Amino acid sequence: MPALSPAGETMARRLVLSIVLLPAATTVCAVAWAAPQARAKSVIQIWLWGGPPHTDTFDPKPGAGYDYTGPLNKTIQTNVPGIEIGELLPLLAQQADKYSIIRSMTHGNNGHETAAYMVQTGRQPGGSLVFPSVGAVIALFKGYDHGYESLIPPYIVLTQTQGRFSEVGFLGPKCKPFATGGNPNANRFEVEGIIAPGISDERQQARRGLLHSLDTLGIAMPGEPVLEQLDTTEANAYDLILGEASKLWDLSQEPTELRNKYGRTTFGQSCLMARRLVEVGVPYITINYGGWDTHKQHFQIMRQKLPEMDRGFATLLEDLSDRGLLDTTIVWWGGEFGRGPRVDWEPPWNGGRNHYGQCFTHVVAGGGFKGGRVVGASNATGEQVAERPVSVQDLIGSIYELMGIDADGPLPNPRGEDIKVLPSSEEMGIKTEGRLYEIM
Amino acid sequence: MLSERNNEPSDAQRMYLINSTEVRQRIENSPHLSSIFDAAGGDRGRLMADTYVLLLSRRPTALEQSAAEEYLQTRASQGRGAFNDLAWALVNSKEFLCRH
Repeated sequence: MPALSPAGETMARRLVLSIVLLPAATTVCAVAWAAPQARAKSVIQIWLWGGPPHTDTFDPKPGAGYDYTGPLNKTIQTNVPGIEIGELLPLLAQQADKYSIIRSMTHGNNGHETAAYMVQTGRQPGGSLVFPSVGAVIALFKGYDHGYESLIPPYIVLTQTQGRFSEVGFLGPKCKPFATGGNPNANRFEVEGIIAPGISDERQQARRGLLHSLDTLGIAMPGEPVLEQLDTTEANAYDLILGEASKLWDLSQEPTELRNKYGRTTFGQSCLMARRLVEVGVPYITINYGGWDTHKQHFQIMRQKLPEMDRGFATLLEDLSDRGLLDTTIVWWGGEFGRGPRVDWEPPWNGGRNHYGQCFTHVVAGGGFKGGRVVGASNATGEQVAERPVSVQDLIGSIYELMGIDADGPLPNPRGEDIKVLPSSEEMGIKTEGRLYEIM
Repeated sequence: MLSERNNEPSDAQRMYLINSTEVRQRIENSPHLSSIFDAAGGDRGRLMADTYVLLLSRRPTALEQSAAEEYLQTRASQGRGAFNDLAWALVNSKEFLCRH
């Protein structure tokens, strides 16, 4: 596996390293030379599983008529002159100077599995290789092989993995997302493997004592290296389970006022948890936020979900900014596609929105992405891209670039094939203007 | 890129064995452990001997016997929970990890 130099090292040092490591293959040097300067340290991906409606959120079309807007036909002026968003997002309207809205995302696919794979990997499905998600690629280039030492895994999902495809693809267990399980909004956030359900801290201590008192082999063979290593791994494990590190997951450490501001919902508290993970240096966090596949009762569900989303997302942006973390943290909001701008009024939908990959919206903030901008535009109904089409390759390539990962560099794979980290739009045969340099 | 079995201890493996839901449920729901627990009734000596034979293929030493006995006794209110802790401690013992 080629070793990337951490971004920020001088060229001279890279040169020295590449000479020292010469037998380790020439690709090492090539990658080290080309890796862009990292501006972001972490990514928080708010993944709206099922496909959020672009026209009810960040690309409203109040003039399109009732057949398109349904009852949500108003907009809100944001704190950036000229940018308006949907009426159910008043808190996000106050944070618009921190994010950019990409209103011309397109991939044209309306199937959950295919579209989710495309948006999360930047690849077309098919072929015999299953590609890794953005999070797994970042775990590869920013993880244990590249100076990351924390026992907190480099790629964390709050709280369940998607399950629509294998996020890790062919990269192997080191890059696999760690799904926390549990519920950060519960009294006790039972993080898988760390906070065991039904086992109190007292019982953890007691049974650890039992483990030690039954350590016959360890007592019989003092100084045996493998056995001593087991002692070390045990100590490390208990540092996470009972030690200072276990407090990371304890949201009661946060002021009640701030917890309430994020919203006492699974999503709101996941946003808060994501901030805490960024603070300890985790490079990639996905908040897997389901419930957006609203074929029926769309508007009723939006009235319930959008305020929750508004609260969590807006508070996350504000909190990251207040702590000086937004400059080095990318927040990426979006789903596998948007939803049909024209409402399905007829039975059995009775006012729902269908899958829509022709034109949709993603939002990016921080980590080198400018705020207060709009990229591209959709047409008057939100059904077609009108200006500056943006492909998932353009978007993901921009994220990699800000993270200091060379998208054109080699991606290690089990067949040893010559595969790039990410193909460009051009290589995918998609006509666009490329990465999002206007907001970087 | 999946490597073959590697006996080098790792933190992640240790975490998994000590505290994962998977291992906890395997112990709680094990039919073997249940039958040992049920068959022993309240006989703690038999319970310990059978558990040791099942997990480490040997009988407990006198030292182990008294340590485990003390644990089961002081945490008797936990019922099956204390016994699960004994099985857990053997699954996490160096002997189990290195020799089984």
